Amino acid sequence: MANRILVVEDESSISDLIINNLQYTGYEYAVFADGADVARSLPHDHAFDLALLDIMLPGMDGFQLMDEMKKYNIPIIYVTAKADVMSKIKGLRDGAEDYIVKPFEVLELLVRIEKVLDRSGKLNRILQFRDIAVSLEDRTVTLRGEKVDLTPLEFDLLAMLIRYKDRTLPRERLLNEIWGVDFVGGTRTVDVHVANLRRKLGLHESLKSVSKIGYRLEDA
Amino acid sequence: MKLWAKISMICAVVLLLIVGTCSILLLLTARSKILNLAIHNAKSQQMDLQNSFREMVLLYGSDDLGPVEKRSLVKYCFRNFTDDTSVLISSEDTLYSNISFDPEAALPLPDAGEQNYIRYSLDGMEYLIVGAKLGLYGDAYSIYTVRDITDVDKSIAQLIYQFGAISSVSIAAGTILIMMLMRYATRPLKKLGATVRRIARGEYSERADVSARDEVGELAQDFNRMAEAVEHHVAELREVAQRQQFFIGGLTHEYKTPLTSVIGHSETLLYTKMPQETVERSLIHIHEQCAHLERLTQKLLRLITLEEGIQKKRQPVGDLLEAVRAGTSEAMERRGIRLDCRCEVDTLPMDFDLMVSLLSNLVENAAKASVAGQTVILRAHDHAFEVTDHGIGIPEEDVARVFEPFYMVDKSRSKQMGGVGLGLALVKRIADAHGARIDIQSAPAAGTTVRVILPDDKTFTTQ
Repeated sequence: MANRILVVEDESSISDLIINNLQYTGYEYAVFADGADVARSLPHDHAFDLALLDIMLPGMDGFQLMDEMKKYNIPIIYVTAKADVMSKIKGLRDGAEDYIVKPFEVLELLVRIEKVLDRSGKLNRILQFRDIAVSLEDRTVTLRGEKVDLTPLEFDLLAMLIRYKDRTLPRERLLNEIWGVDFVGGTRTVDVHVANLRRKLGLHESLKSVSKIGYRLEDA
Repeated sequence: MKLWAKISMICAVVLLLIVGTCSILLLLTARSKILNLAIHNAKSQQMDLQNSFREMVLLYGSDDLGPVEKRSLVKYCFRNFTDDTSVLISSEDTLYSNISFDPEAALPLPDAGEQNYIRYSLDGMEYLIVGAKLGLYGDAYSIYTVRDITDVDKSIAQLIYQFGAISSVSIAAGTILIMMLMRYATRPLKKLGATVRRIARGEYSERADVSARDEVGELAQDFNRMAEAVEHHVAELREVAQRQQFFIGGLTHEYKTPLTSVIGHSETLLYTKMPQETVERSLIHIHEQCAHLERLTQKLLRLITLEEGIQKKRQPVGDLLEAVRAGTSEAMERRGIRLDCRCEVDTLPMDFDLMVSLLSNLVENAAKASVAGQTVILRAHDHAFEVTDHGIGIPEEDVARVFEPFYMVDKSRSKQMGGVGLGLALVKRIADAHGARIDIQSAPAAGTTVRVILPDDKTFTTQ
């Protein structure tokens, strides 16, 4: 079942940006431009796994909406132009799960959403790509029902490629998310692991190289 | 060293000098008085002795006495009047003496009966010797009174000690008193100093006590005037810094939103295969946000270049209103709003281009507040411009803030209309540069009149 995400953002170009990408990644969503409207609608509809809140909103600001969200146990990520440390501290201390400052990278926003959903146990633990099934629970991969042996890093790489299929993932982003920011090896490491995945899972066709940028797993 | 301590010390030194000099003079006078008195006493004692002795000898003696009788008589008579100080010496030997030395050696007497005296010291003792020669029955006798005056100097020395003690005590007491008085007298200075320190720590609203009617009071008054000026300047600087910070904060925020949109949408287009419809919407967003950034940058440049000052010249107002109409006509037509220009004045002193910019901003704002079919009136009369609309109006609590950079009464509405929140800030800056006053009259749902009143500069002539 797809996760449902509440988006509160008064700038239409940015809410469009967010919901386009949520939809593309396979999330469901509801979008509001006015804080007070959110507070009014929550009692009727509050089945959200996560809320992305702007802070400076008409009607009711993001900080005020925190209490409303807590009533329904909805985790919060603030997405705001307010970069000052005091706002950040206030947001996180009040109980936000994360605080993202504009301008942000779309993929980073998606990864942070995934992390928060994972922490609250609402993330889908089974990933499916054609005849490949990935279980995040016991970290196993099956190809047409047969178990395939992957190293831990190959497993993480595969999971990320499937989760963000049909999206080009830059090598640097993959390195950051899977190997960690302090990894000193070059981007060649990513190429080696991608080659292994192609070989072990027969992904020569669908796991495409995008020249000079990175890789994309194509479902089409 | 503190001022009060310094002054006290100077006073103490002066006191010491005065008391010391007086004491020494006093002691010297006293000493000579005592000595004179001692000399006078000794003289009269000697005179008494000599007279009594002479009379007795003359009473009992006669010219026919033999040397032995005469000697016995003289000795006998002298003894009747003697005390420890008396000495009788004949031409041959000492007939009577209780003292340890020979006064004749110290004070040889001439033959005449004149009284003589001398001060004579021996073995640490001080003596006063008074003597006279006396002729009796053909013999000469020296009669001396020898007084021990060692005590005179001793008592003078004692006096010196007493004076010293009294002077020291009084000088000490005087110094302490002066110190206390000085501390009291310099207390306003100390208080002033404390105030100065508090101000130095940043408590700029502190003021000194000016109740003292002396130099300190005057200083405090001058100081307060200075503090006033400092406080004023500091407040001004703070306000400028705050305004600047507010402006920069607003600016970064205003830049961030379109940038986020442009970066995000372009990233999405680059990395995903969205359906055609979504791709087009993303492109529209990118285009619109870039246009917004462009407008923002234009306005910002205008604001920055305004810093360089303006050139006021007397300009035809009719041309000005025509220029405003030309510049705004496209936007007005699009919104379906008519601009009604009423020119009731020939020329006014101004920077033409900037005034076009100011009025265009006001006219566009008025149009944004209006609905299609309404009319915006631009009127020039006397030395003022008026822009009137019959639109949504400004809520009373917002009127004072509309000139703040990035302040928008209704943000989403303003953004929809393509506003960046700098229009009225620009208007205000241009008006300030002209020395003009802006007056806003507005009622929600009834409309707004913005009046730009130029200074009534009758003396201004065409340059």
